[in-house]
Amino acid sequence: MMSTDFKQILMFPGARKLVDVCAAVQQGEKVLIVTDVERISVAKSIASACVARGAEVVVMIMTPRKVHGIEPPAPIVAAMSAADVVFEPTSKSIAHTAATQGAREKGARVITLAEITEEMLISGAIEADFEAQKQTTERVMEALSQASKARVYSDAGTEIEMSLEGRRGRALTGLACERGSYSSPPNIEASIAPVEGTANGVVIVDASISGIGLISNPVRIKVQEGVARAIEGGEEARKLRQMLKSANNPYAYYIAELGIGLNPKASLKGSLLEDEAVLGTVHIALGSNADFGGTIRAGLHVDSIIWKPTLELDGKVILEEGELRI
Amino acid sequence: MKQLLMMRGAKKLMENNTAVKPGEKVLIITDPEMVSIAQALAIMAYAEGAETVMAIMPPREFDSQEPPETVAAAMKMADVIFTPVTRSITHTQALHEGVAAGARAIVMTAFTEDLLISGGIEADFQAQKPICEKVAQLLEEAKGARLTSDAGTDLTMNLTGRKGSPLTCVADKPGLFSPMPNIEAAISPVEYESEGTIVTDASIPYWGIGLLEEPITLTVKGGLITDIRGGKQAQELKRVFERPGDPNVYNIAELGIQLNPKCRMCGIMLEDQGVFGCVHIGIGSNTSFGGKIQAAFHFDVIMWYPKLELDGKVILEKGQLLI
Repeated sequence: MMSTDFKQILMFPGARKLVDVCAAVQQGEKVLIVTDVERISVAKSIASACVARGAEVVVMIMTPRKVHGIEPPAPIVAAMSAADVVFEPTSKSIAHTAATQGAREKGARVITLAEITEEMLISGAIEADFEAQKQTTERVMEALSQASKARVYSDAGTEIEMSLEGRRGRALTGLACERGSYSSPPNIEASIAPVEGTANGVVIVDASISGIGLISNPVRIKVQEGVARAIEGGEEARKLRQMLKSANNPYAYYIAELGIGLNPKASLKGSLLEDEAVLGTVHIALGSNADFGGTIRAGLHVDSIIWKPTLELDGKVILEEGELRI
Repeated sequence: MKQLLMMRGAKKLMENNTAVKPGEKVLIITDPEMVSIAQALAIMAYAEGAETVMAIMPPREFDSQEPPETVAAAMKMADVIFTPVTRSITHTQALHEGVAAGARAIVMTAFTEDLLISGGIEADFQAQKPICEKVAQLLEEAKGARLTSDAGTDLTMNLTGRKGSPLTCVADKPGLFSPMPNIEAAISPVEYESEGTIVTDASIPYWGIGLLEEPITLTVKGGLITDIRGGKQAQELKRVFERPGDPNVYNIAELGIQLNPKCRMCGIMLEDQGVFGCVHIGIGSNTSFGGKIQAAFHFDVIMWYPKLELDGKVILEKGQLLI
C-alpha cells in the first residue's frame, strides 16, 4: 500500500500528459474515470492530474469485466454519456462496447487504457511527443488509404501480401482532442482493415502477441485467402491456437488488420498498449475489424507483432527493416 | 484493520435496511474523505452478489449542492444508492430523480467509521419501523403540539393539515429513502404560528458546534426565532443565523421525535438526531417535509427528554413513548 502511494509521485507526469495533452482536458470539464479494482492506482493518478487541471473529476470503480469487450454496469454507462471526457484505465478493455460508442456519440472524448500498468505511466511510450508524431501517423494512414496492395516481408521469414483496395486507414495518434474522438495512448499507430479473403503468405511473429506476451519461439502463421490455416511453433503457438479455438467462431481466424507502430519511445514490454506501438514494428491481427472499416465480427481481436519488417505499398517501400521511408 | 469492524454494520445495511439482492445494481457515492466507509459497503455489496459501483466525486462545497452530472446520471440507473459523503446530497434534484426512478436510497451524510461499527447501527430497524410509523401517524392526525421540558422549553405548534414523515432507516422498496441511523418521526408545523421557548440542551450537530456545554434558549414568536441566549455556543449560533442575511433561516421548520434506542449523543449529526426519547426542532427550510419555506439552510437543535403532548394527550415523557 505504502509503496503504491509513493509511486504516485513517479506516475504523475505521465498522468498529466494523458490529461493535458492526450485529452486536452479544460478547466471545469466533466471528466469521468472508469476503472476496476485492478487499476485503481492508475485511476488515482489520472484523477490527481484532472484535479490539478481544474476539471470536475469523478472516479467510478467497478469489478473487472470477465473478458475484453463486456459492457460496464448500467450506472456507469449512464455516467459515460454525461461526461465531456472519459478515461478507461481497466484491466479488461471496454473500448469496443456500446457504452464507449454511446459516450462518443454524445460528444465525449474517450481515452481507453486497457491493461495499462503503473510502469507505463512512469516511462517508455508515455514519454513520446504525441503532437509531434501526429503528422507522421496521419501520413502513414493516408499512404495506407491510397494503396491497393500491401506486402510485408522480413529476414525472419515473413512474406505476405494483401489487398487494401477501397479501404480507409485510421490514425491512432494517442490524442483525443475533438468531440467524439477516441484514442488509446501511449499507443501510436496507423492501421487498416485489409480486404477480407485477399491475404496470402506467411507471417512469422517474433515480437509479441496480445494476451500472450513476448515471444521466445517465433510463431509461424500460414495464411491462405485471408484465413490463418496453420499456426506452428512452440508454447506461444499452442497458446494462440487455444485462444482462437476458445472464441468458438470461424471468423476468429480471419486476417483483420495491418498496423504500423509509430511511437518512438515505445519498447517491447509484453503489454499490448505499448508493444503494438513500437516504432518500426508491424502488427497483423486476427478476428474482428468491423469497428475500423472491415466486415468481421469475431468476438475477439488478437494482434501479432512482427519485429521491424519491410512494408511495401503498391511496390513502394514505406518501411524498410523497421525504418520509416515516408 | 478497522474495516473488519465495519463489516457487520455494512452487512446490516445491505441485508436488513435495503434488502439488496444478487444482480442488483448498487451505487455507492462517496468523496475522498469517506472512501473507507464506501469501501466497507462495496465489499459487502459485492459479497451479496450485487453489481457494485463506487463513485468518488470531489466533496461538495456546501450541503445540498448537486453532485456532478455524471453521478446524477448514474443514480437514475441504480437499484440501491448509498451516499457516505461529507456534505449532504440528500436534498438534491439528483437524489430525488434517482429515487423517483425507483432506487432505494440510504443517505449517510457526515458518516464516520465508528457509526458503522456501533451505536445507532445496532438497532433492530425492522422492529422499530412500526413504532416510527405509528408516531408519524399520530403527528399527522394531531391539530396541535406542545413541547415542554424541565430545562424550560415550552413551545406550541399548529400541525393541522400537515403530513407526518416516518424516517425508518429502512429502504427496502423502490422509491424509498432514509437517512441512517436516525430513526425519527417528523412533521413540519404550520408556518408563522409556533409560539414559546425552545431550550436546547443536548446537541446542535452542525457548524462545528456539537454537544452543548450549556443550554441555549431560543425565543419563538409568530413561527420565527426572535432571540438567542446562552453562552459561547449561543454566540456562535447567532453568527450562523446572521451570516446568510436570509430572514427565512429563523423559521420553525420541523418537529422531530427521535426513536433509535441504540443511538448515543456524540456530536455527530445523524447519530444525535436518532437518540431515543429526545426531540429536535428543525430550523430554516421545510420544503422537504411538505412546507413552503425555502431558506439558506436547514439544521436541527436537539433537547434531552422533553414532554410532548398532541391535542392535550401526552405521547412522550422522560424518554418514554406513551402510545
